[in-house]
Amino acid sequence: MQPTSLLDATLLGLAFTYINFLGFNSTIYVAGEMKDVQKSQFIAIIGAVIIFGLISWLGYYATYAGMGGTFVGAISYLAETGHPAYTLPFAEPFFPFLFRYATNTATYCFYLFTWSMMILAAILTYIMLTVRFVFAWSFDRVIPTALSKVDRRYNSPYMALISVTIIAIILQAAWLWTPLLSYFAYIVFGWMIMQIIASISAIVFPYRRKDIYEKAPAIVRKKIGPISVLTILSILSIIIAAWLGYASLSPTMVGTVDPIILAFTFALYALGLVIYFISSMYHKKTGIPLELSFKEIPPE
Amino acid sequence: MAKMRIYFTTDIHGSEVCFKKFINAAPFYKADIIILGGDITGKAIIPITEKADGTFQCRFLGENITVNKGKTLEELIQKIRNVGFYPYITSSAEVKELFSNEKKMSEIFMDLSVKELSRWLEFAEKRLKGTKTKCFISPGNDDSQIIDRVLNSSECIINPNEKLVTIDGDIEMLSLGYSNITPWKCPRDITEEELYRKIDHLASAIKKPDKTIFNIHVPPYDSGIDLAPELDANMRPKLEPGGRVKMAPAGSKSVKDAIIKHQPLLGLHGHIHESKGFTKIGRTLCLNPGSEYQEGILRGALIQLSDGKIKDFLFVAG
Repeated sequence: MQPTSLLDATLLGLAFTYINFLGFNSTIYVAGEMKDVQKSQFIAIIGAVIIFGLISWLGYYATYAGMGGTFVGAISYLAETGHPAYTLPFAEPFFPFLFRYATNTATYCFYLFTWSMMILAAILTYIMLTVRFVFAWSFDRVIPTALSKVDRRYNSPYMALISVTIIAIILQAAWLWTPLLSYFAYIVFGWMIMQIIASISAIVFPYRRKDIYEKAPAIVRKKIGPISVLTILSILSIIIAAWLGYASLSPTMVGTVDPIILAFTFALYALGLVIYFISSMYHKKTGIPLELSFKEIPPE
Repeated sequence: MAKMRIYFTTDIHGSEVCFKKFINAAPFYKADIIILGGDITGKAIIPITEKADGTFQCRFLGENITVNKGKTLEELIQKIRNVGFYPYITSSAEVKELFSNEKKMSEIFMDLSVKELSRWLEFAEKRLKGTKTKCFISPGNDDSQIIDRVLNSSECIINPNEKLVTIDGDIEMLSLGYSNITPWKCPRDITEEELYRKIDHLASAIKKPDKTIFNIHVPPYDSGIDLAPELDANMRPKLEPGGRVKMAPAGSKSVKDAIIKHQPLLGLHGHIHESKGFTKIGRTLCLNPGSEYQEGILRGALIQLSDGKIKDFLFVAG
């Protein structure tokens, strides 16, 4: 996809920014444990974008200013096409590497340090999120109950943490020695589908579960005219998620769209359904259908 | 009965919608036995004052509300009942008097507790009459002793408090609505020693411990299903560095000791709303379904028994 205007370029850039920022919404999982959550969460989310944006801008600006856009474009092209003229000592001309040639050593070290911290923060987000998911599935009896064991002393979900670590090591090995992880190329697209499903739930929530909605804090119940702000924000969220899903499949991000990788992305969703189906069958056999977990009892 | 499904819920604190859901849980979950484990009465009165212009005003969930007589007033009353408060239509003069006369406020609160519970039991009778469902409702530490006579007078429900009852076949249930002393000094707060004596007295008559259910309102101490915010001298939650609320075990040591000693089949607990979970103490499975009564969500646990053994369990939010 070639941007034809500044707006196009900004929207495509939005996809890249979002990828680097994946997991910001994971803070909702710890929101209940935060002090002054409305203020702190807002500052943390917006503050992270600003800090990340400034550091990225510093790197990009210095690289472009030091080398010129034509040169950066040219070596990127040479690297991507595997041209023998590309002789830099790294596989791809990523900006953090090019930055080394455009600035002094101290700035370069600081820049790399901040990038490594960003990756560390992302890993923390993913570990926290996946451990929490595994714990919740186990607690809700979808996967074996043993995975929700908690250490009394530290209140740590140690079984979920161990299982996630083992899976992470296996995937790390797969990344090193097999092409498995290339099948995760459209994971942002998959993530956006998840975002859209959650947003649809939020759109209908004020109308389908009016009883719960009316007891929510005032900020949740805010309306513009007759329409709930929650619904409006969710519609915006769907539009943005749909755009990001589309943009994340653009050739600038993933090369040509591979139907096998696309099928693999959808298969990941199917895998979730398969796990649920097997668990559901097991519980039906032992006595209590899982489907009862969140079904509302009619009060009248 | 070879197979039996139990539905257990607790801590509805006056929420009418939750009580109705509890009664309807029997056909909904196909449960043979339904148990409400205590803390059934409301926590406060919401005065609704009648104004000279014929409107009614009250302050509810942080908002000042004005409604007209008729449908909107009825809706407001139902909303108040569903959240777990007692609506009380009165005059501005009486509201002033109530806030300065604690004794009168308490008398009205007790009166409303009894009236509302009686109304609930009428609903239960209509729904349960002619069915095979066994319904057990016991008081919890928040419930005044005044409600015992209301519970005992019902023909469709059984108040198992301070009793060892046979619930089906050779499955027995020991029930106790008391708690160890809480910071709020509730009507049924007693010392750990008293609590242990009461449990031990009832447990002495158990025929088969491995086929007995302990329906004890307060959970066992330091079991992971008894974590509550730790409070300071001003009853405010203590915070950890970073602002996270500090949690601490608030269950009963006597209950834990009794479970370790008698090793019942199952422990059904509540009391600490934010500590939904399950744990194993020896061979005893202990459950606390937690509570979200203010949202009108009835948290509970389904337990499937087969030949006196637990085949499966599931937390449900109905």
